[in-house]
Parts: sequence; C-alpha cells; structure tokens
Amino acid sequence: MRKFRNSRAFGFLAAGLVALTSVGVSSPVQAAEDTSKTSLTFSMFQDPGRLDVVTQPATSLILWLPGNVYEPLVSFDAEDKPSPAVAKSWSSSPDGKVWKFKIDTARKFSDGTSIKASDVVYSLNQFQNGSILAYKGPFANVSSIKATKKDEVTVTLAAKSRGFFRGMGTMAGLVMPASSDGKRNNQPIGSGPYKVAEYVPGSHLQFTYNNNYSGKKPRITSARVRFITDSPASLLALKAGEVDGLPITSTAIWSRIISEGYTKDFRRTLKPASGELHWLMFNQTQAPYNNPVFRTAIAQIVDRDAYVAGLGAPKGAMVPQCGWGIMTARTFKPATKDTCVIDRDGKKAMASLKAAGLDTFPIEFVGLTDVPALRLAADIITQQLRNAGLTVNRRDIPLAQYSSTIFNARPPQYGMSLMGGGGNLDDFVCKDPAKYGYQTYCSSAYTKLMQQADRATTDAAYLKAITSANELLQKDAVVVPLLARTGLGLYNKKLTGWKPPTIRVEVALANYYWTK
Amino acid sequence: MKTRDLPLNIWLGGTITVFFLLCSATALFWTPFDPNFVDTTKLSLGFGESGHLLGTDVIGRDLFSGLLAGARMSVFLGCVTAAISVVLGTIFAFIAVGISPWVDEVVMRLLDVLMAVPGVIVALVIATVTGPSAISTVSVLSVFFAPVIARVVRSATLPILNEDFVQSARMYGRGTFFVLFRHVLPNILSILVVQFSLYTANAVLAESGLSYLGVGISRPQISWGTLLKEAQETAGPTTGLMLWPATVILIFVLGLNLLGDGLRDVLDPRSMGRRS
Amino acid sequence: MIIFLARRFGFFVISVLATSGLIFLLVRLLGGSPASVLLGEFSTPEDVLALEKQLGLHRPLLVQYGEWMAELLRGDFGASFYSGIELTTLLKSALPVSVSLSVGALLVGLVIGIPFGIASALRSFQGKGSLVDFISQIGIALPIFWSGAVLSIIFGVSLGWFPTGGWVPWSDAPATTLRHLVLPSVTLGIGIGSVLARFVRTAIVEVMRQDFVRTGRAFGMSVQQSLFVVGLRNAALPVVTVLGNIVSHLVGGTVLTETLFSMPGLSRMILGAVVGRDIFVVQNLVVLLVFYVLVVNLIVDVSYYLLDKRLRI
Repeated sequence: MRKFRNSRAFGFLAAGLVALTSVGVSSPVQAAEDTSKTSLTFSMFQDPGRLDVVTQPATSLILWLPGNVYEPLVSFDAEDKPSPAVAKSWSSSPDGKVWKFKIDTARKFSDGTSIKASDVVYSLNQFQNGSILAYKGPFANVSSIKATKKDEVTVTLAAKSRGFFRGMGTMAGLVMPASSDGKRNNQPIGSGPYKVAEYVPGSHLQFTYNNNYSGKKPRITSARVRFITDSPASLLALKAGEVDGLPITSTAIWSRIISEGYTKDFRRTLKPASGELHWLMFNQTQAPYNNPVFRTAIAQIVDRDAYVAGLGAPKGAMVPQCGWGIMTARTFKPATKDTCVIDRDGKKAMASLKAAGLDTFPIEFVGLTDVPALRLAADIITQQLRNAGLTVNRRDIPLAQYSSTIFNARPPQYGMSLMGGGGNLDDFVCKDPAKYGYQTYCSSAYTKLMQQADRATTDAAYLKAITSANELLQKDAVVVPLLARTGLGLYNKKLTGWKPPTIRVEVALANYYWTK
Repeated sequence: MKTRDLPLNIWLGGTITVFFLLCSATALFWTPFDPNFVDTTKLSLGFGESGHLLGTDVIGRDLFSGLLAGARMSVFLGCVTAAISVVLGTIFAFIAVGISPWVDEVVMRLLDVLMAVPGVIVALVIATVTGPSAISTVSVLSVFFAPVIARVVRSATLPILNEDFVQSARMYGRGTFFVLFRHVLPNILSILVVQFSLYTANAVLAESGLSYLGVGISRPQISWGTLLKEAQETAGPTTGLMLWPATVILIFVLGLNLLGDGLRDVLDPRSMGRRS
Repeated sequence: MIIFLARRFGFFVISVLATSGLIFLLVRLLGGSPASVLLGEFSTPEDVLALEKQLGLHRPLLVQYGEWMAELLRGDFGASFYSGIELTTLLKSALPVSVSLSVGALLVGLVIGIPFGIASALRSFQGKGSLVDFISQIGIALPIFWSGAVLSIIFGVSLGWFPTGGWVPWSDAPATTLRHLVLPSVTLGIGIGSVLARFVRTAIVEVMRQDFVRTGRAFGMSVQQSLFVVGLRNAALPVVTVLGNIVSHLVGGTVLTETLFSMPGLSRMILGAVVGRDIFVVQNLVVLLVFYVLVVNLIVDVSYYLLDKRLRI
C-alpha cells in the first residue's frame, strides 16, 4: 500500500517538474533550416492528364505549373503591387491605351534558349485566342500585341483597362517559348525555377531545379507530386510519412482531419487565396428559374450557417457569405444582416412562392456522382429545400460530363446546381446578349459597371464599381453564393515556407524548405 | 421428418433469413428516421447517441434506418435476381436437353463461354452504357447466374428423362416439353428451391459489390452497397460506417448459404419418393 | 491429340470473337450511341451527331469491329475521351499494382488453401470434419469489404503493423510496397484459399480411395504407381473447374480489394472510366481482361489434356 502511495506522489512530482520546464520553454523558437534536405513529396487528389496550361483549366494543373515552371510577365504580390518578372520594366501612355514592356532577355527557358519579345507575343496570343474564358478576360480591350524590338513588346488597347495590366500577373501572362507549340501536353517549357523532369499519368509529376533559372536557386531542388485520388488514402500516406504534405485537401475529409487529430501532428495551413466559393446556380433559360421571385425565395430559404456546419470544416476554413468572390476578393464580406442583400426568411419565401403558384414546382437539381465533397454539399442543400416544403428531384452526373457541358458555354439543361469555383466577377460580363456563358445571365447594366471598374483611374472608383456590380448580382438572386472556403493544407511539421499564391492558386515549390 | 431432426444448418440459416425478411417487411412501412434525411446538427454520431441506434454518417443521416432501407432493397433485388436466374437457367437447360443432342452441345458451349467471363466485368460495361441502376444490375447478374444453374438443372434432368415412367409417357405420344414440365419439373423443384436460396445469397453479395464500386444503386435509393461506398469515400473503410453494413451483408449471406445447404441435405433426391 | 488441340484452340478463338463481339454490340446498341454516352445527358442532338461522325460511328458495324480488332492487335488501346491520355501509358503504372496484388493473393491462397485442404481431407477420412468444412465455407462467403475492413481495423489501426491503404511503387521503396501488399493480399487470399481448400480436399479424398489402387494393380502397376498415375489423373479432373473459379474470383475480387485499399491498379482505371462514362476506355480494358481470362482457361485446358495424355498408359 505504502509503495503505491509513494509512487503516485512521485508521479505527481514528476508531472509538475515537466510542466514547469515546459512553461519555461513554451515560447516558439524559430527552427533552424536543414540544408541537407532538398527534396520533398506532395500528394494531389487529381491527375491533370494534359500539361498544357493554355487548354487545360483543371485545378490539378494550375496548382503546379504556374510559378514553378512558368513565370508571368509581371509579378504581383499579395497586395497587388507589381514587380519585374519576365518584363524587367514597363510603361504606359498617359491615356493608358499603349503599354510597352521591356523583356529581360538575359532570362532563359529551361531548354537553354533566351526569352525574346516574340516569345512573349506568342504566349499572350495563345491565351487571348485560347478556349478558356477566364484567361481571355484580360485581353477584352486589347486591339494589338506586337514585338516592336527584340526585347520590347507593345500592347495597344481600345480603352484603358486595369484588368489588362493585372492580368499580366495571372495565368494570361505566363510566358512560354514559341517553339513549345504543340508540345506542351507532355513537355511544358518555361523560365521558372523548376522544369518537369517526368510526368507519369496516373502516378506522379516530377519537378527538378531548372539550371537555367535566372533567379535565386531554391532550397528544394527536387519535388515529386504523387497523384493519390482517394482522399482518405492520402491522409494515410501523410501519416505514414510516404508524402511530406497535402497542399490541397478535399472538403470530403475535412471533418476527418479534425476528428482524427491530424491538426495536432501536422502543420495545418489555411490559404484563402487557394480557396473557392460555393454557390447555387440557376438555368435562366427555363421557367421558373428565370423568375426573380423564385430565385429570391431560394436565396431566402438556404441556411448558410447550417450548410457550413454540415460540412464539418475546421474553424475559420469556411465562412458563410452572400456576395460573390473568394476570401481574398476585395468585395468579400462574411454573411450578416448588413452584408446580405437578401436576408434569410424561410416563411416569407414560401409565402411568396405560394402566391406565385411556384411552391409545388419540382426543382431539377443536378449534382456530381464522382466528387464526394460536392455531392455531400448538394445533399445538405437539397435537404434544406425539402425541409422548407419544396419538391427537389436530384440527378447526379459524372464530373467529366458536367464540365464538358458547363464550360463549353453550352446552355445547361439542369434547373439548379451547386458549384465551386474561383468567384471572378468577370464571369458575368456579357457583351453580346445572345452569347451568355454557362451562368446563363446577361445584363448590360452589369457589364457597364464592370467596364467602369476596368477603366477606373482611382482605387476608390474601382472599388465602388465592383461593389455595385456585386450587389447587382445579389439583387435578383442571379446566383446564390453560399460560402467561401480556404484551401486547407497539411504538412510535415518540419517542412515550412509556404506563401500565398499570386498568379492563381499555385503551390510555389521554391518557397519551401526543411527545418531541423 | 420431425422438426427436431432438422439439421443445425436449417435452424440457423432459417432463423437468420426469416429475421432479415421481417426487417425488410418492416422497412416497407417504417424506419426510425428517414434514411435520406440530412441533419447537419447530428454529424458523425456514435453508437446510441441522440436516439440514433448505430449513429449517423458525416452529414447526419441515420445509419440504422439506412441498414433497414438497404435490407428492403437488397433482399428484394436478391430474390428477384435469383428468381430470374432460376427460371432462365431452367429454360436453358430444358432447351438444351429437350430438342436434340446437337442443340445441347451448342447451348452448353455457349453457356461455357458465358461462364468463362467474370460477371463483374460485363456488369461494368453495361453500367457505363446505360448508367448504373437497379435494373441493369439485376439483368446482368441474372444472365451470369443462369448458366451455372442451367448446368445443375441439366444434370438433374437427364437421369429423370431416362426413367421408366418418362419413357412410357413418351410412348403415349407426349411431347418432350410436356414431359419436361409435367414430370421433370415437379421432381427437380427441390433442387430449384435450393438454388434459389443459394443464388439469392450470391445476388445480394454481387449487388452489394457493384453498388460499393459505384456502378449499382445510388441515392436516393439505398442498398447496403451504397452505404459501403459512402463509408469508403468519407469516413474511411476502418470505421463503423463501413463495418456495420459489411457485417449485416455477411450475416445475411451466411444465413442464406446455410439454409440452402441445409435444404440440399434434407431434400436430397435419394431420400425422397418420386411422383409420376 | 492434334484434333483436340485444334478443337480447343478453335473454341478459344470463337470465345474471343464472341465475347468481344458481345461487348462491341453492348457498347454500340445499348442505351443510345456511344457518342451520347460520352457527351452525357445534357448534350444536344447536334453535338451527338457531330461526335458520331467524328468517331466514325455511322459506318457499318462490321467495318468498325474489324478496325477495332486490328487496333487492339497492334497494341493501340486508344485514349481517354476526356483527358486524352493514352491507355497504354496509364496501364504502365496501373498493371504492376494489379499484378502484384494477384500474385500476392495467390500466394496467400496457396499457403492457406493447401494445408487447410489436407487437414480437411484427413479429418473427413477420420469421420469428423464439419468444423473445417464450415470454416472453408465461411471463407468463400466472406465479403471482401468485410474481411478487409476487419483486417484493416485490427492490424492496421489498432496494432499499426501495416498501412491500411495506398500504394508506393516498387521502384521507390520495395520494402514499403511489400508492407502495403500484406493486408490486401491476405484479404483477397482468404477467398482464394477457401476455394483451393475445397479442391485439395476433394482431390486428396479421391486419391486416397482404395479403388484406384485396385484398378492400377489390375493393370500391373505397383501400389505407388497406381496411386500416382490413376489417382492423379482423377485428381486432376477438378483442376479445370477450380482454376477457372480462381481466375474469376481473382478478377472480381481484385476490383473490390483495390477499391477498399485505395490501390491505383487496373480496377481503379476501369471504375474511373465507368463512372465517367468513358465508354471506349471501358470497352478496351474489358476486352483485355476477358482475353486474359480466356487465355488462362485455354492454357489450363491444354495443360490438363497434355498431362492426361502423358499419364495414359
């Protein structure tokens, strides 16, 4: 008996000592860099399939190639301040209609050739004439792009455009050699710090340091991105140490990340710039989805807080919102009575639907069969609509078909759908009323506001214009934004250095380094 | 035969089967919760929490209700598939046996080819083309079970056809198919019952597998396989969400197999008299 | 002998043509044209028509079939409609996974099946045996998702001995790959082992029957000779059935096991294509699998026949 009591006492004493000492060293010490480790392995839940950034808009590609393999014409930081990249200097005419970019011809592509003005012209033309609408946006007012000297590119605009210059720091501004024409699906060549050493579809993407890189040599010189399409399996791989990090995780496993303690053993990063927006979309070529009363009622029924709760996200990773745009958008505001144009009011919604005779209309809701995260999200919204008394018919189709229908600017044939994406205000700009995009919305008032924004001379004027445009979207519930979520990444605690993406959502490998 | 002489197989198998049939029947009218009801305030609950007997899934749907609804679907699909397979198999066998030896050879070879191909594979092709559904699942499975049943029926039919009473019926001018249906069928009924039981088990297992892979039943319809698939995608295969449906499938399939084997022992033709 | 081989090979060719023809027809005639399957429910009739022309689907069926067969024989398995990646490239990384799993499962099956079968045969000989029989019956009926989940929970999560999913290529870290293979191989191997156990049991029981010795002796053989020669020939009879069974079990079981343990093998490829309605990928992969199954059956049949011939006095 006595032995037991003594050992218990000793236990308490020991615990006390440990507590005291840990308090003493509780302040976080900056870990020393481990220069001997120069490689890392990441996991990605999607295989890009084709490596050509001009034709392949998949997230799985734009996470890895911009910033690592390619450099933009101009580099912008998180505060939108420009700095030289492929263009070492630039100037614009007083009326903003003529831009001249001086190309840094000392820079080389990974194949050893130096960058010429003609390469820049080639690259800009590729995106301008390409099939991805989001990349064409910056060129909306561009009337000509010419190589006026061996190291100078002159761009002439029909009207001044903020979007153009800022666009030179996004995907549309990535520079590639003219000689890469037709070869980019397998051999992307750029001037960035890394080159694609190997791409094995279904297995991995291997990056190695680009010896011809003109900037500072990164600490990581070899990086492998393994495609682990099964999200639960990627968590296991991280736990087992088979990968060093999951820069992007599917929301389907977010609740597991918390409940299984991954946030304790691994460094968690929340990256608003890598996040996306969730919203409800309507097919406004059909009745009653083209009826603002109907859409407004839907907007009043959805319970954003319950939606966020149902998705089981870690704190701060998902924020309910009523406006359009991801967390880093300048017009972003969390949902409150003051920030939402349409407030939550289920009773009023059903009353107005009844009055319009639309309360029994069977809603055609299309979801995705093979993206569990979005399918579950759609299940939650469907339930909310049903709880309110509406009839909802769910139809789920595969992602490949959903994308090919939606993004090839065909009129969609669903009634309602839930989408996740980048939340660009440009998505609703519609110059030709007959040619609206997949959002099936075309408003000249909106387009005018966005043009105003693009030509604004002061920051305040710009902000005012886009805020008005945002409110216009909400007014008739053209779309019903639900939430903004961050990108949630998990990393080995010894691996650090990530910085917010600036081009689009890229994971810039050059920022990472190992600590001891 | 006295009831207490019945082997353990039938007792155990029968009890399990009856239990599941009762659950399915109950599920036709009532489940504790709507299995498709998403309750975002009750995510991933555990055993017995908040009135959910077996807990909930990642978006708050009751697991126990899901299992009951799954029983409804799986039992139904299993029985229908087995019934179609037995009927088809018997028809194939009768055609083979009843027309001519040449037809017999051809039909059996055809069935051999069908049997050589794993059914899962063709099920996948059909699911791609028509889209996954209950009907495509049932049809594919029936087509793949039928050949094996046909073999069994055929080998049971042949000796009967050589029996005296059959020969005498033939001498009276009775056509072959009349003979088959009037004389052979009643005598192989017991075999058909056994096959029905065993193939319900196979069908339940196969349908669960197909739905698990994503090419069978999907919400709002629920089968046990659907629950497995959702567990795999969200909570992971090492959680209760996976284990409960899997165990339920295991027990039901085992019960049906035991019942089938037990029936086979009891209804063995050697111990039964023949009707002519 | 030549006649048998010719007949058997003829049957093989007919089987290949028949099943590939069946799949070809299923793809083209069930549920609308392949073009509408690829483009999905929300496609317009004009789009479908355009794609049909592009893919040459308006040509006579026989022509399409012939062209398809020629492509397959050339080794051209086509590409994914959506990503454009060629199948042969994807197969390079997927095949090692599936093959490793099949081999692992077979090994486990042998290790479980043979001792179990022998034990069962001996027991039945001694008049007992229902327990071992019962166990092997359960083994066959065990759903893979159940045994896999249970094994993962016990050995993967609780004890932490093996990873519960995922894959590392052999070229990266062979030791880790082996660890990844253990749980899936055992899961799949249990079913195979049970099937094998039954066969082994039947085979041994037959061999041990005295009649064979008497028959052999009547032919002038010694006890050992007769046991071996006559007995083996009869024991070899169930080989065809059981191997066919095992191959079927393997193909179907691999699909489930790869899904359960998140292994990026052939099944993952096929399933991805099925769910994405990538019809031609499914068509080609399925035909590949069917061909493999038919080839195995052919080899088994011929081997058995040759074995049988050699054993005949």
